[in-house]
Amino acid sequence: MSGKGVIALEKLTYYRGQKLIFEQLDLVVETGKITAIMGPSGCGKTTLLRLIGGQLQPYSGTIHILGKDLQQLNRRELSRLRSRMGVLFQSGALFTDLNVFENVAFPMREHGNLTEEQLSEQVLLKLDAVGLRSARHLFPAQLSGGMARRIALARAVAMNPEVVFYDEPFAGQDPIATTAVMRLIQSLAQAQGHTSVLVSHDLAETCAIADHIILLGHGRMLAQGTPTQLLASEDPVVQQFTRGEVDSMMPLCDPI
Amino acid sequence: MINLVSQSLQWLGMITLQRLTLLGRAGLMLPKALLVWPSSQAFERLLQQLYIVGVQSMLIMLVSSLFIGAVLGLQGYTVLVDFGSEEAVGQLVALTLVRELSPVVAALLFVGRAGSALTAEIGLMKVTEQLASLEMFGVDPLHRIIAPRFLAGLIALPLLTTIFSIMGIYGGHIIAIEWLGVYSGSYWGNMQQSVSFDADIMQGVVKSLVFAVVVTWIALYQGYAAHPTAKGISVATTRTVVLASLVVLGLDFLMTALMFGR
Amino acid sequence: MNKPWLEISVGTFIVAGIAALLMLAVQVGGYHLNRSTDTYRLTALFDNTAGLAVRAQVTLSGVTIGKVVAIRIDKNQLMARVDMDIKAEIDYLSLDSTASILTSGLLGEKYIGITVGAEEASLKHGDQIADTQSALVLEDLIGRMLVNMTQ
Repeated sequence: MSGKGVIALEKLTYYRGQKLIFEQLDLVVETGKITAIMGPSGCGKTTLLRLIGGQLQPYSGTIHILGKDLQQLNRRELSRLRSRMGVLFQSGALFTDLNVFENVAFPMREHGNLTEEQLSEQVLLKLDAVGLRSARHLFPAQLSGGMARRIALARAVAMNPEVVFYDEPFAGQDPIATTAVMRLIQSLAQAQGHTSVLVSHDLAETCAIADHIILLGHGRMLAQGTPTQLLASEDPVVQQFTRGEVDSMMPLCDPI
Repeated sequence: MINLVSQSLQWLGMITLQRLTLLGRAGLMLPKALLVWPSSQAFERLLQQLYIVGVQSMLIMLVSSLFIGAVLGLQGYTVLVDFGSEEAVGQLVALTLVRELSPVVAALLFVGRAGSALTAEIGLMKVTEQLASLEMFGVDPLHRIIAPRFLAGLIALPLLTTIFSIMGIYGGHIIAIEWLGVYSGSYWGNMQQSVSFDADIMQGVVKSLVFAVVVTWIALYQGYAAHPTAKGISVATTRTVVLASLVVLGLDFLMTALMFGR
Repeated sequence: MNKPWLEISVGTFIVAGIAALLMLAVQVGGYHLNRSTDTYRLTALFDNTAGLAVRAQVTLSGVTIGKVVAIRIDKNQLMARVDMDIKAEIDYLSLDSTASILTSGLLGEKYIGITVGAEEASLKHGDQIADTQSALVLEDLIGRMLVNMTQ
């Protein structure tokens, strides 16, 4: 399986109800890079993350992650594989009944067998990395949106995962928070050496940090390449997305 | 005509199948949630839920039971005094409460106070992706979120029901003895003669256990299966209250017929 | 993570619930913990038990000493056969005791009153009370009174 990248989808087909979301999708994410999956809203980007996380079952096709075939795994193996992945959910998904410290400590308590001291040290280290050590006693309801996302980021990388998924990390953030998250994604990737997979429709921010961009639409891959390649593309479909043209040959996807 | 019949038959079949699927899914949720080895952390979570579901429901139960007992005492007295047997008011209050009103009213209040909150909480966890996030950390949300809440409901409601009964009987006592001047000895004496522990008190407890299972189950399933939008949560919460209340009343009739009917 | 107030309040709640059940049992249900353990069984045959119910009291000089556990027809004698459980410590009911069905108040519940006789030996488990007095039936009473008046 090595040589195929961290994530490899082959002929993936998925339906939500009667609606075809992916049709025979092939996709490879390379190790150590920041790969962005882009596409208009409602084209199944979040669904793709759920499929890769094993939370949804594909209709047909295979998904390989970190050299494992997702469909071949039993619950325990899937759980072990998931502990090697980190996810930053769109809404942050911090546990509202735990404070910031316990939120970041959560995956460590579940998977690691650290002493309380080691755990505390690790958590504070991660909180330092996102610059929010002082917020450790607060509850999620007391955090601003930007802070909550940074805490969620600290939690996503708490187990030093090999792949980190970001679901719309820039959506609904003010410009300063967006820049902060962008810098964090880059610096964390450099510091920990993990592969980053970014799902977004924010073109400018994504192009600024991604090494490789995959453009999805109509259940297929429309184009891929470096940000420069994509922005310079002559393909009308790509141009429509990069320039934000509404009246063009590619109809907008249905919202879900 | 034949077309119409076949169409309505098809529609009926479709609805039935849909309902059955739903019931099957809701049925599968519980054993999946409960089949897990308990840990000390699980105990802590159960404690927390018992606080939310049980302790926080105490006030409403205490207040309403006192009032219901008082009203029963008052109404019972005005009827019984015509027959010169006002000392039987204790018996009337106790039997009405223990057999019927305590299990049913406590369950209905529980639906409103705790059931709707459970549905909304779990629905919101779904919207904010907390359930999905648990899954990604290799934690089954059924074990972590559903199981402690279900057990807490199962323990809390029967306890609340017995507290409801005793407080209601004291409410009746206050009215009948302090206000209407019924002799205290005959209030309790008549009651003790006519209320049987096995036939009346235990059957009330059995009723409340059944209600606890059904109400908590409905509340949790509605939250867990809620459509993850603001509208979806509001629909699920409404459904919890309506469905659970109706099921409580229906099951109460059924169980009364089985237990006390001849 | 340590919240003693939470544990204390939940503990109080559970204790309150169990206490409520115990109070229901003892104060409302009149449940005695040693109730079922030491009793002995007596039977009596009545012509008419009209209105007597299972769980009715059995009294001696107005003091409750047991309760009725079964009422059925005795096929051989075509009379009502009443089974009573009497507390074990009441072991001094003489063999010639009388059992009568009485009414508390004019419209109250029926109960069995036992009157002790003169015999030395006392009733044992499974014994039958020979001398019985049936329930007073209001219609019979009125009928008899009318007959007396016309005479």
